[in-house]
Amino acid sequence: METKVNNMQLDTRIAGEDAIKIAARNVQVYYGDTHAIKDVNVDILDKTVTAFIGPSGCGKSTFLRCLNRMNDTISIARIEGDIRIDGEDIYDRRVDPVQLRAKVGMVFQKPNPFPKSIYENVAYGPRIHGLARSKADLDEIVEKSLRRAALWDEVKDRLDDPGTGLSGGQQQRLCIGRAVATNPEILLMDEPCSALDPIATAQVEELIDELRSNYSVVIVTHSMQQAARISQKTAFFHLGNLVEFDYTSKIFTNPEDSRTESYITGRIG
Amino acid sequence: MPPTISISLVLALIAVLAIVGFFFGRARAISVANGVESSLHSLPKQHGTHVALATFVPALIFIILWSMGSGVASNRYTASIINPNAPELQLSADTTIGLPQEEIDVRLAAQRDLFVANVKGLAIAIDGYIANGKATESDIERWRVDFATFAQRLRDDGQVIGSSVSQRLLDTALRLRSFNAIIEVIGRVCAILLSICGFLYGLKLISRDFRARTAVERWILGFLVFASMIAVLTTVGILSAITFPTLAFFKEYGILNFLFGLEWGPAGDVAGVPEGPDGTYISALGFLPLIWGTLYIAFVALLVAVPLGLSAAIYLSEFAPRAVRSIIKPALEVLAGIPTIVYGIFALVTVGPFLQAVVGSTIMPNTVSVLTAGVVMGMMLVPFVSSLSDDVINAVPQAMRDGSLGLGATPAETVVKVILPAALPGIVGAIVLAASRAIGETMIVVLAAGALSSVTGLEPNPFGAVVTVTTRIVAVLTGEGSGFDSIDVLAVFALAFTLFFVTLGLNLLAQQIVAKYREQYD
Repeated sequence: METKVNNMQLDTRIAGEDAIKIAARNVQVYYGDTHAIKDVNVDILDKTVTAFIGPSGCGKSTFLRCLNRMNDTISIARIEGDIRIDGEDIYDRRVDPVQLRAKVGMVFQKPNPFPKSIYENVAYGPRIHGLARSKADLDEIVEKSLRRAALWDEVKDRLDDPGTGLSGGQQQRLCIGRAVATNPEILLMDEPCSALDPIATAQVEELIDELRSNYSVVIVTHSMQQAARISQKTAFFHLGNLVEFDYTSKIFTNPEDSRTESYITGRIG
Repeated sequence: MPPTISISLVLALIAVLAIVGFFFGRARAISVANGVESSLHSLPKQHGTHVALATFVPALIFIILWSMGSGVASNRYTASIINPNAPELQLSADTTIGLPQEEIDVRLAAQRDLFVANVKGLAIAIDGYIANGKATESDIERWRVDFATFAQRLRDDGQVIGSSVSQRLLDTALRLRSFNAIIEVIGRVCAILLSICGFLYGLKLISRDFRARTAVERWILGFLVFASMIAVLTTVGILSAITFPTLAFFKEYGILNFLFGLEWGPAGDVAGVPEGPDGTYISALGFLPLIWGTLYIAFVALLVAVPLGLSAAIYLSEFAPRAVRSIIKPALEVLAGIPTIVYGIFALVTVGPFLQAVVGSTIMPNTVSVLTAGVVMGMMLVPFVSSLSDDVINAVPQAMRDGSLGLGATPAETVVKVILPAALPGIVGAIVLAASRAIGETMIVVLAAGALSSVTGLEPNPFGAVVTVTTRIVAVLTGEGSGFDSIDVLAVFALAFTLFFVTLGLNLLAQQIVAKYREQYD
């Protein structure tokens, strides 16, 4: 695969390795009678931020939720096709979706900390997966995760306060820290900044860029500027089809499909 | 006899006037507008509605108030026309020998109350007799001379009258009837006049600038305030109705003797004769055995209802496929609709014998027991708990579930660690409501817990029979031979009063718990 430079932003932001983390082939998703995702093929790279953009209802969130089998919790959803993470079919019978979700963390549109303390929010995943052998272990995981989420300095003195008492941006970073705590390899983010103010958004974006060094990050966003700012690769969805998937710089400067161009320039969406 | 106007005629008149008022008001508003309806502040139909309301509502309120007031007035009137020296109001000499003056006064007052009650009862009986078309007003006047047969005629017609009927009683009752009739006619005429005044005043108000729309709004507001006040006033009314007899009981029996008494055994004494003033009672009226039985059964019921109900709610809201949910939920609601007496029968003929067969009759001598009543009451409460908890669990945001599942938690882990803690305040509320119902429940315990008329001490055996507060209230009030001023009946008021505060306390406790957790979770 040829390496391209993201010309819109920093020249140094090149997609990390070309190792394919997630490979999706011929994915179809049906909600009842609605054909929500049509024949999507995509390769998502490791240690890269991949952005899914597209108008509302185009299926980008639905596809994202296929990647950690969150659609399983919706009884009318039906998925066909083949999605492999590190070459392993995640819809294989032998795969436990619960284990899968520990490996593929998810951050949601609206910050959703549990009504528990900050500490308990982060410790939740490690506890249910038995990642910590002792209290000291757990303390360490919590600290590490909160540091990764760039929240530690702000909350280290009030870990016992309820997570719901934090500001919106802090809550979202707490949710990221919570997801990071289970040691995932992939982080899925479903419009993580849409409920945040510009300052909090900037903090979370900065965080996402840092997370790239450890994880493969897939982010759904409504903001094309955000996609351009933080992603190396961008996928444009329209009416359930993956229209175009390429380096972000390419998508935003020289899209191949006319629909992509129309969306980028604000003519559809 | 003055002419009478039937109440339905009055109401019909007022209603017709209101309807006419609506159309008149609307027409007048249109004519005031001179064809330019937009020059009016309010729409013509709002003007019409205002006239209708002004015609109808004050008159209706007046009728209600007047009928309340006339009850008081006729009581006063009856008291004033009774001759205190009448033989019906005296005690025979042999019953007063050796009694202190206070006691004689009490009994005289009771005798007098009885006479007044008989007068009112007879007046009502005659009204009923006439309403049944058996006689006219003039027939009744003739009864004064044809005294002998009228009591029998009234009874034959199914009217309820006192056992001793005298000439004086009839005279007094007839005088009371004339008085009532006059009051009634005055009231109804006034109501019609008031309605006409409202009608004219409403029409007069109509002008381009009159804000009929706002005025109608105020009528509606008034009605809404009235509706909410009724609920509050009902509580106040119930409380005051049971408070005074309760205080009388506490004064007579001693509040501590009642609250901490370990024996319940009313003697069933006769009307009008309070127990001896020297402090000795034949009746033992201790509260503890009853509240013990009540709380014991309620506890067993909750032990059954809470785990089952909560589990059912969790299954229905978190796990059940839509098809299963659509069957089980209505089925649970059917369970909630079964009358409690049916549960009682079920307990008596099925659950009780079954329990006895299982544990043996040495441990469980009767089929009625704490467990029989408790288990069946628990089943009754299952839909109650599950339906309330189901609502609360469904109210937990989907984002909480997604968050937990997205971290790799199983659905069960999600329920235990996230959903239930978040729903806890509501669940506690549901449990306390269930507890209040268990404590107040009557029919199941009447049939299934044992109906001992007297009990001593606190029964620890869950297979033993107990008595509850509610069953004793029923037993004493439906029993023979207890007058409403006997100590036993007064004790029943005290039971109701105390029960009221126990459940009130529980509800307050629940609110406290809910408020505490709510602060934490919002």
